[in-house]
Amino acid sequence: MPAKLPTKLEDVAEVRIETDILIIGAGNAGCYAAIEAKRRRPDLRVTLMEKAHIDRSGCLAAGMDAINTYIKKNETIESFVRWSRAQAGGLLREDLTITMAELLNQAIEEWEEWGLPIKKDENGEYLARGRWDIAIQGSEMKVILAEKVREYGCEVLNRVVATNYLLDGDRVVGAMGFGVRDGKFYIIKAGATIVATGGAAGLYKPYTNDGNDCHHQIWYCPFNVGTGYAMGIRAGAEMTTFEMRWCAVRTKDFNGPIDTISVGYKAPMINAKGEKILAERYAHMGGDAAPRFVRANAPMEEWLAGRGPCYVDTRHMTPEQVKNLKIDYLNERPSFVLFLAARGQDITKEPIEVYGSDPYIVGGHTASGYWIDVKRATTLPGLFACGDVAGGVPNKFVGGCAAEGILAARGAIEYLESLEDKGQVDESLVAAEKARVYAPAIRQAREGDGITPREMEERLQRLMDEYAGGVHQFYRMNRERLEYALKHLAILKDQTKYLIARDLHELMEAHEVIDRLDVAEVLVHHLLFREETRWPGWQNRVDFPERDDSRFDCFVNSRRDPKTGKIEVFTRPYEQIVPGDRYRP
Amino acid sequence: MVLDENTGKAYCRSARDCWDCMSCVKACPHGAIETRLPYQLGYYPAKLIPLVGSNKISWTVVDIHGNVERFTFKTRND
Ligand SMILES: Cc1cc2nc3c(=O)[nH]c(=O)nc-3n(C[C@H](O)[C@H](O)[C@H](O)COP(=O)(O)OP(=O)(O)OC[C@H]3O[C@@H](n4cnc5c(N)ncnc54)[C@H](O)[C@@H]3O)c2cc1C
Repeated sequence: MPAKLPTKLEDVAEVRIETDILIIGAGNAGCYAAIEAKRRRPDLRVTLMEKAHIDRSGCLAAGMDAINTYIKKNETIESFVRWSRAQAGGLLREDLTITMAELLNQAIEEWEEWGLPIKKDENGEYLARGRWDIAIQGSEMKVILAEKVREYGCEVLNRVVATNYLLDGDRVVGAMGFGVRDGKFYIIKAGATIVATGGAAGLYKPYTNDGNDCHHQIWYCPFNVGTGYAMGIRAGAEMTTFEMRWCAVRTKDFNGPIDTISVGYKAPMINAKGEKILAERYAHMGGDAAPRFVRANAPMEEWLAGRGPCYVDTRHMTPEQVKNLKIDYLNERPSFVLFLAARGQDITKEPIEVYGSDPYIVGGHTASGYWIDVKRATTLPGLFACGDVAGGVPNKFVGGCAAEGILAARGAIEYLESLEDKGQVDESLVAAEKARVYAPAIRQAREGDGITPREMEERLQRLMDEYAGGVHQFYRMNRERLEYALKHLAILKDQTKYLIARDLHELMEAHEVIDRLDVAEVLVHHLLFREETRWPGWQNRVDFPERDDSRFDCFVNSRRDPKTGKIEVFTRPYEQIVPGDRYRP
Repeated sequence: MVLDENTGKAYCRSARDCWDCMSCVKACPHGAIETRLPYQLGYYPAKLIPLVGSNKISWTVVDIHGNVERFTFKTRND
């Protein structure tokens, strides 16, 4: 049974833990970080703080059917950088991409040793599914990873939600949070801290959203709400490239992945007239291999031009292929097979409809997140970042998030070994955070009236959708709309003091919306700053429809001043290491 | 999932926030949980039921016309 919601601050029990390395988020990257830390330094205490349960938390919950980034025999790290760079519209951190790519294969081969089935071709090589992808049967891959974390002797705190860092000056010395089941306040002091909380979903209204059930029928993991970004923003960490949002072509209504169909079974995207959209209209941009933002934008353009709906054409598939396709989905998103059954759809007769997803901030697909160095150190001393929460490196996917976990652990150990003192816990900050965390519960007990997290979340999502380029606006935006969004975000942020929570789960939801507001505000600042359109499907400024290399061939970064709350936006130069045309693979 | 104190049964506390990842369906040792898609997305009555073994899984899917399909595959290396 979950504990009762506290009604007075004095009733809140505290749990104090001292550890060497704290990892926030026991997902794909966090688990790899934990394992690497423990096998390098078995004498260290390694603690994971996870809001859900490690066995099935995060993006890997339902499983996966492919590893999207594996460097095959005929490829090199340089060819990977070239491809990833072109896919990202010429903008990525090459130093970070190279260091990640060096570890891509190791991480996946280890997973296989631990039990993950990877499909093989007739030569015994990993079965290719496209240029960088390999096919796996990953239904239980998260469970397998979680077992390893425990086997290595890491300590796992399940169902503890991180809310803010513990700071000693600007140095991070751990984190605070609360138990969703036990209701206790956690103060975890750490030598080094690694954030691995994934990206941010639920900033925008999904088109599946209705009054009943479909609120979270979205592509990205809806429980990753951007808390890792928000904690960094609040503590003054430098962030990068939030404006490079991840919007993707997904199966219509269900919002399921489509790489399985389009890459795995070479099903072309077609419009209502049966034209092959990418081959016929985007040949000059690479056709079916065009950058992902082009592919995200393509069906939206078709709808706007009156040529929707769009589909991935599965009508050429053999019964054997259909069976394999369904097995792939059962490994990654089993309920998509249920969806087809619930539509009574035979995909050899009727193609699968596709549409754009709601926009997400996901540093593992695009490049939004913490500004880090090659050791995965953020700009806050003592804090390292990896996976979808870390910025600068698009196209990480499963293997890249794992690789970054390994790098962050190494960085954290090196930092720990260089430390002269362990830092201080500032008790006044602890007390302030405790009051902030339980405020919605206390308000409910005292006033019994206010705003529910659900109300505020829907207000935020609608605001972002309409004024900051959501799916209902075909991802388009202009300065005036973005400024309107900022104005109302400020009102919403001020209104968070009226949030109420009636149980511990709702207390978590209250903080989810608070965190989303902080992320949304920084996002809108980034969208405003980049006065060009670099990635039409991801960031579409109708008032600046062209790419403008003279001003924006660089990174857009930001930092919120923790004292004044003012967000400063500025640029950082591009540094090319791998020669060649950055817009071509 | 939360436990209803009165009935002693577990239920999904926020069905609208479910991701339909089916983790709970696979993990339930009694096979007592079923995922139903929101009606906005899929029609009634389709079913997808897993049978979880130690190294493999079997899925049975029944579509709205009553057609049945079965799939069995490996989930872990031996
Ligand atoms: C539907 C889908 C399909 C995909 N398909 C593929 C594919 O086929 N191939 C591929 O290579 N990649 C794929 N990806 C991408 C890949 O899965 C992700 O990029 C990667 O797994 C992210 O790893 P991560 O560790 O950053 O995040 P996650 O694995 O999501 O981990 C984040 C963890 O942080 C926890 N957390 C969040 N907030 C808090 C908090 N406040 N306190 C404590 N814990 C917190 C979460 O519960 C979670 O466990 C897919 C992603 C999705 C969503």
